[in-house]
Amino acid sequence: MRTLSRSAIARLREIVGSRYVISEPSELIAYEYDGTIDRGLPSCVVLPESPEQIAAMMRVARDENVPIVPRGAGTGLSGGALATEGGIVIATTRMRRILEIDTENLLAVVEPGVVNLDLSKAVAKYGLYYAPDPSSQRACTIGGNVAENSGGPHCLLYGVTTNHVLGLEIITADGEIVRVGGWGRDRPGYDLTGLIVGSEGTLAIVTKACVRLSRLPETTRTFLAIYDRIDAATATVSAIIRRGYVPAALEMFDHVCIEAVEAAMHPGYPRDAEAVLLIEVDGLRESTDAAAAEIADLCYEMGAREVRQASDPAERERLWQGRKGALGALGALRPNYYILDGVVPRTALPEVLAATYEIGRRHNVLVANVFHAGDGNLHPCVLFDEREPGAAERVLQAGAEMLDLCARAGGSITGEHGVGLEKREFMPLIFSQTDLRAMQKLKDAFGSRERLNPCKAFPAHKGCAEVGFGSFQKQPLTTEYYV
Amino acid sequence: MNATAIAETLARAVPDALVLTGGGLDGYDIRGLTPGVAVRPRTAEGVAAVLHLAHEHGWAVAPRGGGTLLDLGNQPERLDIVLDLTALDAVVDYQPDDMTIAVQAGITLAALERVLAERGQMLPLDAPLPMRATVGGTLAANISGPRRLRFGTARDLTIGMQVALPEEGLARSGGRVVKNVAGYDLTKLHIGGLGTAGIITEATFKVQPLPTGRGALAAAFDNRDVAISVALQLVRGQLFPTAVELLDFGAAHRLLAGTRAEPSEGQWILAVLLLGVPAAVSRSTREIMTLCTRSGAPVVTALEMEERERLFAGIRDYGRADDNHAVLIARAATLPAQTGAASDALTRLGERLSSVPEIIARPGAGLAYGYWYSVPAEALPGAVAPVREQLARLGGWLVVERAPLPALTGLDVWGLTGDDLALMRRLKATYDPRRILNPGRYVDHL
Repeated sequence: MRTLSRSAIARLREIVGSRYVISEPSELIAYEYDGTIDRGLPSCVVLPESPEQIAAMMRVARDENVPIVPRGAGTGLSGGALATEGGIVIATTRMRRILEIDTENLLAVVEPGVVNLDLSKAVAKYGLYYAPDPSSQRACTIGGNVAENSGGPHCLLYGVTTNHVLGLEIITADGEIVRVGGWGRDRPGYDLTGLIVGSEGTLAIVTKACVRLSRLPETTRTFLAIYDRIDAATATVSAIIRRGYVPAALEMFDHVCIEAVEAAMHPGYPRDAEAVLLIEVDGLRESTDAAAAEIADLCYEMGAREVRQASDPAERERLWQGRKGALGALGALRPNYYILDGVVPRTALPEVLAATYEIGRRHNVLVANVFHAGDGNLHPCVLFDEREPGAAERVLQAGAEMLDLCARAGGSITGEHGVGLEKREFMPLIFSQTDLRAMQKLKDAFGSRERLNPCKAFPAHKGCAEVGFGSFQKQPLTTEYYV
Repeated sequence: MNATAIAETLARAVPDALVLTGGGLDGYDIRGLTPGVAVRPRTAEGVAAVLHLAHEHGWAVAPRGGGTLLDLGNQPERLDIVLDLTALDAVVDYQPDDMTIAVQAGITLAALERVLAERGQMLPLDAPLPMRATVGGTLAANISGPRRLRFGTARDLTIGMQVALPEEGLARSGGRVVKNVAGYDLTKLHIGGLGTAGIITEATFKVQPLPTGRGALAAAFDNRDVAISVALQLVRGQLFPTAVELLDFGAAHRLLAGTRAEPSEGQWILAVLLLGVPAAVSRSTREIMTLCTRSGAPVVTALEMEERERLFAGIRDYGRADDNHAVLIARAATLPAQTGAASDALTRLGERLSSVPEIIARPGAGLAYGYWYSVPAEALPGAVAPVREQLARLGGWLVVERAPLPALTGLDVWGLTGDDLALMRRLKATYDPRRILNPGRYVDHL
């Protein structure tokens, strides 16, 4: 691991102020974690407040030949913000201003440290919101969302982050401040914005994002469909999509999740159910009425025991709390957990879901499923106790088998959490060597190879530190820890 | 190597491809330049093989689909081979229950639409002349139309791609599922890339269910800015119309003369398309008609099915149809609230050319399109520059989508300036180091 010279630290202090340069080991360990079970100790953490400061720091990093690792809220679930190769972590914590809200043009310009939900809250009074809503939205930042191309339960209908970013201001590895995209549409030239969204902090650092704002729909109807058999629930998901409905959200929980969530927060899920579907439709009154009626019928047709509708916003909020707090609740069941993120075509959901439980049984680990059924994005949550000898290995083995399962079903190894550290070795499951080579050439174009978040998102090469989930997260850091 | 030798080399390397030289090259011109060879492979591997050879020998290649947007871009710097993608027209993998479809790049939009309609689905991607326009060309040009307001453009609808690259050969990005963040999103490099970083051989889309209800209306306004203001209310409101288009008198007259919605002299027409469940469409239509009337529209017409289809197809194909062929097409871009300024920019361009444009504005995107049917070509470069400057002060720009050939000397049709050009140059140098793909046609003459 590369260390930073005293003169480099001095330069960083000069750029951003001593107060905002963290180099004491006892303070650095707070930045060793993200939302995963791995750790990476940075050489130094800096908290800039302007693009110019970041640009200057990139030049220091270049001179020192150390990498830069951008960090938002540290809620990431693929190890993206971990400084596994050491280097300088640039945390965007202090860059959290909403710079512009343009209600006439339905856009906002934000600094990368703005918390996702805070943006929606800030524009709510105009009848607007920011659509991509990852479950961690109370904590995660727009910058992090851009890096991972984050989704969330409502992306089924409204799209993911890349569909909502109009333009960016970025800092390249060479320390250039560049504006890409345009606040207007169809700017000629290559779509640099589209290339950077989802690039996991490996091509450039985002210092401003111009994002689309959306109009809040006229009506929203939220249902809970309760099932005695899990395959009836998955069959319902396929049936809804096949019938031509695209609900605003379509989430599924299994029995383990229901029990955990009820115990933790009492959203009103029936503890004896095998599975529940949380379904939301929104839009014009007439559309939601029609959709609600048809979907309720479909649920019963496919075997739902009961379909409840949230009768007021408070109840809707409670039902969603259950979904958004699921991971935190699961964390109470066992000392450790490991969240997976795989995608399969919706039609493959029934078998794949059943297979995840089977894999869990074979490896003697508890598997709970809470996920975005509507777009086939599974989040098997593997629960275990790391003190048990061999448990960690079994968990990783189970995880690897589940990802392989998703790849073989024609899906992907990550729907929204990113490849990061965690899944870099699984990329060959879905991409050929040629595909990966073609992608990695982007780093040459951006000049960021080995300099920005190295050893992430693609299979490790010889220089990369060997990280093998050597340590596990004990408890979720707060009860508001989301998947 | 001369054309015959190139043709022979290609024929040997790709035996199942059609290779044409000499007289067989009728119709393969690109902006007045005739290639020495045209090749029409039957497979993606064939496309990759052609590119591989072209890269090896430094032959300049221009990809071609239905030939509907060949006017886009600057003059080719060099042209050795036209690579015709139209034989790659298969549906590769259609999963209606998953609402995804993978198709080869040479399939026409109309053929794709038919396949999807059979299963009650659609891909709401508008491009002019869909009977000829191919998927590959549509994506490479990033062309869009009225329905983008509700459904987005190619960047929002494409979930995966296979591309032939000069050095690597065939490479994939994205996948077949609607939710996927594995790998860099290289589809974004090629959408709108005009084939300059690679040639699209296959694309996967997420599709939509066909709506059960449809409606449309045309409202005439005497005052353009009132029309824009109403349009923007619709764009920002909760009715979520599928398309909101503003036609100036010239364009409205061309499309609606002789119909119930025909405009009076000088009137602008606000055309709105609504898709959804029938009850929602009816209510929305009523509410919008009331809004238009209250805002002073003297005439508001709810369109019947045939009128609706003809009007929106006309808008989609405007200036590019056989019976509506513009010689100059320009696109002014600003922000939605400045749509009036975008339209003004086109009017001013017309004044400098002493030729009045017909204008269609897309307020939801802050875009205005100008169509001219006769212009003095030599005057174009000088006329465009000041208009571009004025738009730039608003943070906007002007792209010339089609111009008469003589006008192209001294005119950069894209007019792109900005500090991100350096990155774009590096992208081009990375993916097409020998500059064999459409050299000179893209921004900055890349």
